[in-house]
Amino acid sequence: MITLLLGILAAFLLAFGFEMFLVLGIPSLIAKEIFFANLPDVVVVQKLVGGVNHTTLLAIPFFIFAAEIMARGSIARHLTDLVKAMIGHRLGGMGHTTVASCMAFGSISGSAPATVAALGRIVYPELGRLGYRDRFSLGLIVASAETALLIPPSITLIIYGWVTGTSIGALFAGGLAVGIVLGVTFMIYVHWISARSAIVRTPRPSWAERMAAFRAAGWALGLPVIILGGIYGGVVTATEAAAASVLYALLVECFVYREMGMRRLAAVAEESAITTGVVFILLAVGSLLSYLITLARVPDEILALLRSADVGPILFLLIVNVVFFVAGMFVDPNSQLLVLVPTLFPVAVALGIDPVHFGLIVCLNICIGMITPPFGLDLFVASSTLGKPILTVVAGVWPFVAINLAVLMLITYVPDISLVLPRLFMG
Amino acid sequence: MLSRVLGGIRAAERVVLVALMLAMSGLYGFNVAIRNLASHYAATFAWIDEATRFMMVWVVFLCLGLALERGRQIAMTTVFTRIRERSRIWLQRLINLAGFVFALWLARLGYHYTVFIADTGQTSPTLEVPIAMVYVVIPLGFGLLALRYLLDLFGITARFAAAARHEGHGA
Repeated sequence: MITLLLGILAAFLLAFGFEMFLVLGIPSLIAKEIFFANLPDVVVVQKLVGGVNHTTLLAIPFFIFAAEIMARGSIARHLTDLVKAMIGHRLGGMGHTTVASCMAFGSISGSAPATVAALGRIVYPELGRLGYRDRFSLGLIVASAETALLIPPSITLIIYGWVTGTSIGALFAGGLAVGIVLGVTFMIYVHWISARSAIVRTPRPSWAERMAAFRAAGWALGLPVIILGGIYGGVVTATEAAAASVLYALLVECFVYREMGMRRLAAVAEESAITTGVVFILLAVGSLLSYLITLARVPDEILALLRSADVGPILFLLIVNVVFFVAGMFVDPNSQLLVLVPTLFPVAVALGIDPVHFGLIVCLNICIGMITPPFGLDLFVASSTLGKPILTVVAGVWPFVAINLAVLMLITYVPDISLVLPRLFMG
Repeated sequence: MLSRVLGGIRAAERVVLVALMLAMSGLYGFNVAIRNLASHYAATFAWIDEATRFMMVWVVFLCLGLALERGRQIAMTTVFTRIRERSRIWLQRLINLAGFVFALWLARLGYHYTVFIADTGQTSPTLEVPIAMVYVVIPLGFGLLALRYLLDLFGITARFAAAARHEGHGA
């Protein structure tokens, strides 16, 4: 009964706009006082600090800092120009450019909203100019930006890895494969739509133009090389690759583009610290909550319930997808991870599901949550950065939600898609 | 007078956050270079791993108040922005009051734990600094957060307006 009341309290706090750390924290503190009154207060402080005091997590502020340094300048434009020079002349070229640019930008930034904001402004006017329908263009931009959460470096996968103790390198490799599958599926849809519409095709660029585009974007492409090459070459860990990315980004901005003065560096560092802080306070409070969930033996009870109902892995994964789909409509990605993963992961492992495979299912669900009405964050970012009514964005995103759900089913029931690259790279 | 004090607090928070972020990245990057290029010196710099983690803990809790004031803390505001303005003002007060009590509660727990750990004289394994230096950021950070909630409760700051401008950020 009290558990139910705490759940209702959390839902009330969430719905009425309380800060997310209050939504997680207030019920946790009340639960601690009521259910675990014998638990010393020091545990609360230790869990808060312990939730963020780990070397693996250092990768997140470093990746955020590197992306802030690189993404503030003209990188998004250079990357789009490069992709356009390569594939822009084909049928549906600008649509394909949108998907591939989001994937390329995602290999620098791990944030889907940042990808919508940075690339949306560049590709949206061009999509309209070439004859794509407004709704389709908005849906395509919002959906393509999801790939940033899957393609390394992915903050979502790092947090999942930290919460569950799964190898970040293996998750990154799996994320790369799933991100490519999702991107290619979007491209097939773009091709299908383009073949049935009056889309203007642009002339094929000369090789000189392509080389010029490559030279302009080449430095940005060095970052994914450091990250993926470093990790899978066995040279560095994910955290070390992140720190190396910061140094690389600084060197490029200071000595190649010469756009980074001390004042700007301080502004970028401050912004990165705040972005880190707002994510990490959820990790800190979420660490307390997941500790209490474990103490209350919630995963054990779920497992016992599933066993008594004779639920196997196939049905369990379907339930997981439904739970995340509903949660994704209302709750932000990190809170979903911190509440649902500690509860469901032990059950998944007990049912013999591979931790990397489960991580990719979770991550793809979180991607879908970012674009699903009523509270999909990316819908609001697209609406505010492109100055379009939210209802127009929502109308355009439905076909992409349907495609996502089809890909989700594929990823869920064909584990090899998520596991082939981790096996190849990590052995 | 109050605005000067607040300006001083903000400036101090910003300077410390920037310094920590740069130091974290610089030290850890240097450590990676040493481990790969001059590995026989790696043991000399083993303390860097611990130092950067402690700095990260400081960044997280020190920026609590500043992020709140700038409307950057994550909240689902769709319902909030759609209710009538009169009701919304009361809801803002309720959120600020709940946030103030929560932050003050954790600041109090953090203070007691920091005093306790300082009394034990415990030091960190490689850096050998008092471990209380890490935990002191809990009362400090949540204290600064409680202050921000209080300022907003009395209408001295307008964080909800800042949050509306930042819609969609912080994730």
